[in-house]
Amino acid sequence: MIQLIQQLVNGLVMGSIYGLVALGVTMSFGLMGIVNFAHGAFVMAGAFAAFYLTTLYGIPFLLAAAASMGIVGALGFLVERYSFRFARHEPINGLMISIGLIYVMENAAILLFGPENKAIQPLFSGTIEVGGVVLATQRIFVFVASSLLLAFFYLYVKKTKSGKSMRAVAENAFAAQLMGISIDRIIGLAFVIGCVLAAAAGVALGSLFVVTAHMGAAPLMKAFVIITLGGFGSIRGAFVAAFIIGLVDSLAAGYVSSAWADIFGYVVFILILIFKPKGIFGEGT
Amino acid sequence: MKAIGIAAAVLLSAVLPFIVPAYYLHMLVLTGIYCIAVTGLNVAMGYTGLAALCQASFMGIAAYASALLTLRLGLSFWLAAPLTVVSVALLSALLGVITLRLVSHYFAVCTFGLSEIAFIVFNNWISVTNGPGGIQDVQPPARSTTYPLSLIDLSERLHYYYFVLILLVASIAFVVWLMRTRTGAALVAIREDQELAQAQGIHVMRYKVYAFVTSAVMAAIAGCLYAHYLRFLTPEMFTIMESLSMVIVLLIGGAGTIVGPILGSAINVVVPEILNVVPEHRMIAYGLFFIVFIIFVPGGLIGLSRRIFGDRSGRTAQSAGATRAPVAASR
Repeated sequence: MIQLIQQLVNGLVMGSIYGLVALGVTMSFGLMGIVNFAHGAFVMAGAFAAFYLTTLYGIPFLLAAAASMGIVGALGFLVERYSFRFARHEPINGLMISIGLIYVMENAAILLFGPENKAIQPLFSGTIEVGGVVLATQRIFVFVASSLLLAFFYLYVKKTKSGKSMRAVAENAFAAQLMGISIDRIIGLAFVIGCVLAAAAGVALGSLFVVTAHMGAAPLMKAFVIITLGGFGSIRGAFVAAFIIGLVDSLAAGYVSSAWADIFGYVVFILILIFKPKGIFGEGT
Repeated sequence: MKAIGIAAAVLLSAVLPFIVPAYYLHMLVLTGIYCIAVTGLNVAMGYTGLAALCQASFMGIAAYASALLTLRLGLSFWLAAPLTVVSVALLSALLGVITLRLVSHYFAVCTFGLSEIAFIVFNNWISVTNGPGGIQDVQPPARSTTYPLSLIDLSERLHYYYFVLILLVASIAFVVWLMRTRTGAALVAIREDQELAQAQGIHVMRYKVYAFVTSAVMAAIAGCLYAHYLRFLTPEMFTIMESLSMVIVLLIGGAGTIVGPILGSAINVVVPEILNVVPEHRMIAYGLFFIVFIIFVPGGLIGLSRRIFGDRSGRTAQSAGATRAPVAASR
């Protein structure tokens, strides 16, 4: 029973991190039609930025996390402005560009930071015990912070003017433009937000596990599974699917083996792609 | 004229081992093997427009299968390799029938998933693949017992080079022949405009599967050659990044052309040798080149995307979102 609760909590923690990654992927897809394979590289960039700020410059964790989100956001701005923008009329070119970006970013990370594994010093190091269940405080912190970010983002998209513009562009870019929405600005903004959330996910992963040049690959694959499950481009679907995948993952890791559980995830992903291409929760953004 | 060019190229590759320093012979063999796999990818991606991101996985499946058949079951290479190629052909036909319902980037993402699955199997099916440790002591193909052939010893690098060269020339000749047949014309028609091709009575699905299987078979041939040449295998050799590398190499050389895969594979090996750069620099340069290529080469940009995903000219950046079909599943 205690093990089960432990696994469920871990599942929620991972689900919230996956959610952060998946939102960026789903927005790239919803607004630009681009399958962004390089999104994992932004997760990695966020983790490296936070690692350097905390370890080398001794900047406190929260400040470093915020700074890393800012740095990666700026990086995302440049990447969107100078590469993806040119691929907007041909989404497959966006996919190709993102493949090139993985090469550039991951190898640049190896060159700049070396191939060794690193770890971000977590904000909390202890554990708390609730009714016999021992939980690492940092995990709880990651879950709370990620969930807050997700909720904040959701409200932003639903309530604010620019959030509504994003949904309008995803719905019908041409009509949105006729209504006076600057597509360039909205898509750029959405991409930057995706990168900022990816950086947050990177900091979270780096503080729980290790920081490596290829650390973005696994959560990115999860994000693909999630957005397929949730319906391409759907934000609400991505939220729900992220937690489902997080829970399934950690239960499978606890009771079967995590590697084989991954296969199961991919098979389900391919089957959904083929038989229910709009995803299980498919709907508009 | 063309015949002279071809003859010169074949002759050149035949005498190449005697021109270049001995050290490079190893690179030549690897380039030849790689080139077979990329030639296969060219059929699926360059000519038919299928963004198959799992070429290295088929190569890996074949490499493991052939190595294991010889090591565990004691089969001879000459039996194991053809068996492996046939099995990979059947596997790819099955996967093709299922996944080729998807078009455009949905197919790309799907093949991405397939290549992850293949990697996880290589890495975790420890009782068979020995997991991350990989497989050691794969034997080179045994000497034939028939008299004149018994002189050929494929454990010798030079002989192996010619063995690879013959298969490479055969693969290229096959593609040249294929593209002159009606089948080849049908493949190009599908690349240019799938719906138009269908309207003209081309059985799109059948030809796509055909292209996918052809591509996988060549990857399988390359995989068998690779396993018995290097004599060891690890899962890391067949990751998604390797598949993506092949795509980049093909596009650098020129997708949808006969010389493209040869040129690309040669550049892939020769340029870093000449520049003597660390792998990371080379990868960064590849990535940047690739991005610039996609963005700026006008024929590359438009031609490539049209080749890969049907004609969408006439669409502007503004209307792209407006007219994008929600999901392009099978028709």
